[in-house]
Amino acid sequence: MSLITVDSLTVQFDTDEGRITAVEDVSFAVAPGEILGLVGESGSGKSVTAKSLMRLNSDNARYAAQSRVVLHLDDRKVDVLSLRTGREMQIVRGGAISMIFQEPMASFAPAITIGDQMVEQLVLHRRISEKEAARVSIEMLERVGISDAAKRFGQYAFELSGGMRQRAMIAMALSTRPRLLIADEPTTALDVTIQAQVLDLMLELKQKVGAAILLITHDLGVVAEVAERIVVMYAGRKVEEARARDLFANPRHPYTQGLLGAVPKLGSSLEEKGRTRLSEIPGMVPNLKKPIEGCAFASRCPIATDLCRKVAPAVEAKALGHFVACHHAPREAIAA
Amino acid sequence: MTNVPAAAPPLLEVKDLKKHFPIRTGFLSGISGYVYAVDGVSFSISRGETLSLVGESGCGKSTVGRTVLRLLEPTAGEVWLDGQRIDNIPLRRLRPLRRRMQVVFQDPFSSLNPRLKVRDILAEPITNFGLASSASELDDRIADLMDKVRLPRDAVKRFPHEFSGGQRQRIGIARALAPGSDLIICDEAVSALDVSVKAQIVNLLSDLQDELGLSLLFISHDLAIVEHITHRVAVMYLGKIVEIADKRTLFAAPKHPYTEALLSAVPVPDPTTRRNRIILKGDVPSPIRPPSGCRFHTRCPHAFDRCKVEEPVLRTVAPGQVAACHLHDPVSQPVARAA
Repeated sequence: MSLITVDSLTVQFDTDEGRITAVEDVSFAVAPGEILGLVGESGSGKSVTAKSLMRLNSDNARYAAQSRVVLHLDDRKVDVLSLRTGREMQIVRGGAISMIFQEPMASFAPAITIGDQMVEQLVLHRRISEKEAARVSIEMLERVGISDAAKRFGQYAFELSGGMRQRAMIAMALSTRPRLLIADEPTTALDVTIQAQVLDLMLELKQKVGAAILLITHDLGVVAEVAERIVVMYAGRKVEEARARDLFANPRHPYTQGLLGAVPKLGSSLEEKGRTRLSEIPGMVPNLKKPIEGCAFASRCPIATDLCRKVAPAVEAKALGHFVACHHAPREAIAA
Repeated sequence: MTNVPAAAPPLLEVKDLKKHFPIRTGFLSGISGYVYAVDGVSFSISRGETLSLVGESGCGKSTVGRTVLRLLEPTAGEVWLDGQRIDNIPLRRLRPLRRRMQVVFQDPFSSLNPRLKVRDILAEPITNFGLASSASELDDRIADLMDKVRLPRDAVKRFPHEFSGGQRQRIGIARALAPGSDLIICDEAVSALDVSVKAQIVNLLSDLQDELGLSLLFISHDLAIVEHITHRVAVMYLGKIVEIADKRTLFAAPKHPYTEALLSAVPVPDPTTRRNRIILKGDVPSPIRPPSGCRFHTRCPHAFDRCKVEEPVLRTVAPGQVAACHLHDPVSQPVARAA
């Protein structure tokens, strides 16, 4: 059974320039303990989708009536989008779900010590004494590999280096024992050697704590290293979903194919003679202020037909566990 | 283009370049220390060649670029452009030479003047250097620049905000080409772009190099992009170059332990490959108080006693490859094995 299911999620924002459809009819589920990668470029709607799981989108967000986000806890189901008050939302925010962001500086209050912030949320969500919360926090800081944890506990976020801040944020997010950790571009601001440390840490903690991870990233390398399943988004829509191996070995949506071709692979110079061209995806992402007729990728797609420009393709199973929204993606016989 | 004549004198030569930023702790108080951002860096770039400067945040790669351009004044060292020393000449004499080296920055949003139309952005360098004798010649040059960067000619009437990030970066490149430059310094020029657009700009830079014989100093932290675009690579760590090699040698057989770790840390977009990642401990030390001896010794998995006290120099470790590491010094070889 899934931990959280997202069904027909459509999110619109009312802005001065009109209504923007950021996410359109997106459905997926996260199983307990799995790492699901949510991949897309700027404006693909991946962050808005993730924030919807905790109702963290700004006040001008409108969730369409048929949208459902359901969290399956041991004893009950929580319909996230129907939560209204702050107290109700504590079930998801910092309770069953924790979130970490690209910029850890923005996640810590600048004038409160790391320790005080960790203790506050622990007392609130786990209903333990402050003394106990402090002990748990320091232990958690140690577990994420922060040396001299007791000292760091009393420091402010600005006193820590970028990599250490990201570790502290992971420690804070996991100390409440969430069932799901949403990581929004957690390593994008980090250098590669620090990124490698943080990715290793996330994998290790996932095994120890048993939390599921929803990893949001634009970096196909990062998602290939850690995710078990991947959802690819484009212009607010889900275009492909598959197990990580299947997606990279056999991408079926022309956008995914283009994206994989556009990424240079380390070691490319060892195989090829001279310099080759990267494959490009011509054009650019469509304007989301206007409703998009047909397939959102049609204007850039090498195999688009009139059908694609008129009718939006539905997400369909094209092979076992491999879902694609494309009129022209070939279908394999699926064994029952 | 891939056959760069070895005998040709380099277009750019940098010798023992240093840039130290003074730290002033308070108003009226003196200098309390220095940030050793660039601390003795030497390299050269031939005509039509791309040299990439790679390294993590704070290693000094961008400062090298800015000091070469003299957007920052060097603390010590020499910079030669096409046989002419440019680090110590007065700015008035530097000005005509600036025509030959231009820069493309990372952020295509803040590097273009929002109040100028594209036409005016491109006309400025041309008229500044007196490269067009008439209005019609100016128009021809601008149209030619738009063609070069594959933008429609009529887009010159628009303002920067009307373009996407990738298109704006094309405008930035057109502006860099406008005075007829020989050398373009790309400071993280594609780092802020989305994958699909990044590929377009990388291809454009390669094409322009082929067409115009440009030299590129490509400053980047993205090793996969670097491997794709470059001829040679210089790896920096804490203000020093630790290794320089031609592309294939560096990616096939890196010699410096930092280069090895850096390469192994790059995530590979293929879930079936599981490499042995070298996970470095801790963070990059502060460039205000760089470690003694080899600056990498605090994080190096192979460090031994000599590394803590003696700074390694760049020495040839293979044809076309130099590295600054005691492991590759024949004198310390037995010690290294024992450690």
